[in-house]
Amino acid sequence: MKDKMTRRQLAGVILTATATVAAQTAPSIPSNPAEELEAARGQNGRSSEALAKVALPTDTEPAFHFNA
Amino acid sequence: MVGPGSEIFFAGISELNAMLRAKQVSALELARSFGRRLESLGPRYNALALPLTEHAIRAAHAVDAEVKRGRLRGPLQGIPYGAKDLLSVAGQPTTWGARPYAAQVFDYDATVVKKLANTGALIVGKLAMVELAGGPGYRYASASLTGPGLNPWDTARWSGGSSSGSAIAVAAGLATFAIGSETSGSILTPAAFCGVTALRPTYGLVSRYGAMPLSWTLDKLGPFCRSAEDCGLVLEVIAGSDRQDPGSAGKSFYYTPQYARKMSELRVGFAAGDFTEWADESARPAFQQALEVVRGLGVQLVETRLPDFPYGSMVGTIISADAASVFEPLIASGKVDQLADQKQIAGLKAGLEIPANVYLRAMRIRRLATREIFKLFSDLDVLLAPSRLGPAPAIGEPLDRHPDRPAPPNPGLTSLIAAGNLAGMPALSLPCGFAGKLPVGIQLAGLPFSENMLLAIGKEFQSRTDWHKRKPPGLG
Repeated sequence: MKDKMTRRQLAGVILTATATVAAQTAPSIPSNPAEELEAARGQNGRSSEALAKVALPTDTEPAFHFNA
Repeated sequence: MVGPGSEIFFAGISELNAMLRAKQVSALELARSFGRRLESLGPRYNALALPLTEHAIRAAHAVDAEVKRGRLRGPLQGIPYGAKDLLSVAGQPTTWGARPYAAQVFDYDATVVKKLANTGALIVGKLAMVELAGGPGYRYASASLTGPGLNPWDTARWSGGSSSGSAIAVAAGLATFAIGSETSGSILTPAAFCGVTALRPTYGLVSRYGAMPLSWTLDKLGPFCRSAEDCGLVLEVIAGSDRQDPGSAGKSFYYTPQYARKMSELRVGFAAGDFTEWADESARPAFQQALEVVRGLGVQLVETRLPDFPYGSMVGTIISADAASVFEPLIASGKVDQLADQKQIAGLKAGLEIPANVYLRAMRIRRLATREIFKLFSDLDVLLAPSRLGPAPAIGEPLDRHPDRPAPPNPGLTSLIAAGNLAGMPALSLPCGFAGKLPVGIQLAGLPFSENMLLAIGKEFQSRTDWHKRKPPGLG
């Protein structure tokens, strides 16, 4: 058995471990309406952050359909 | 005339209509038989919102008189169906699956209900649904005025939602077809979990007039049926221009299987990892087998993946903001707290706080994403993926639970439900086998208005498989 890991193998292990930890530390189920509202706001905030990362050309119009 | 036997409950549209025209069965017998079955078995699965047997019987008398006179209106004449309880039927309660709207009554028929009545189809009941079609999100299957939709294949499992009653009714032989709705997954999910065929049409092809709005640029109505062919027959009737729906595409649909392209000409995009690494382990054999059946049709399978965009964040932001606007009076009145699901209540309230710039950003990225998704079709005709990655979860299981294994690196087409809805694309879900005793399905998605191609592939797939003909235990 090899006792040394390649850099690629090591990166794989770290990524897997990180994802597993992330899954294990996923937010617990809120237990009351106030916590639930905070969780919903948190979700909206995370969505907003994800959207902010997309490069958006200035001339991009929203995907509305409007017929005058 | 001998009365109908139990074979009628799982017959397809053409078969039933042929029996009707040959006078082997009357519309009245169909209305009574299906109405009684829906009333007796529907509550077993929490599938029934409102029985309309008497309504159907009245319509059936007229159909029988027409058939006697030789006035034939097409394949849906005399066929019993159910409608998701977000569609208005004049003078009848339309609850939207939610306690605050339990006494709501409209004085007009939804356009699809009217179109189906005009062709002689018989509405036997309003079907249960997740409250407010799921709104901005819900945690439990119990998020419904009628309780959790119970899967006919195993009542300890969920039916899927939000069109829960529509999928259950077809799976359990309580209606020959049903109408449901999808904003993001509400047709494909219950179709896959309950083992029925269902079509999410192109955005704007079917009028939503008289349907509960959830998200104006995403809402779509579509059929749950026994086969792809039946989906084509129903879509032909319910599609069409409607000035009462601002999102109407102004197009009709004609089901033309006779003009289907040769399978060998079609290029089908798929991601192998969707069927292996991403799929629930219990469903992998069924998905692999389905992939081989598709390959056996003679199509060219081509590896692909969706362009990288935050599909979940986009669709979540748009639905949350739209739903909060639609239901602002409900939120302001405080009656929102009467909903069954705490996550849904909080999501609606939080949706009111989404800033305009975030909403607009989501809608602008949607434009970019749609353009990039459509580019895939310069080389492909259709995309193929599991409808859902595994079978129905257990009743009581949190639906937003994170998977307990790391996500594979290649996202493949796993965001196809969100992406397809954002881009207004049609999709067809086909039963493709079982994970244990629970059905699973695959989806075919194409460019807007490519329904005939999806249905042709679906029909070909179903000519080589019998998953769509399987019946849940005890219901044969």
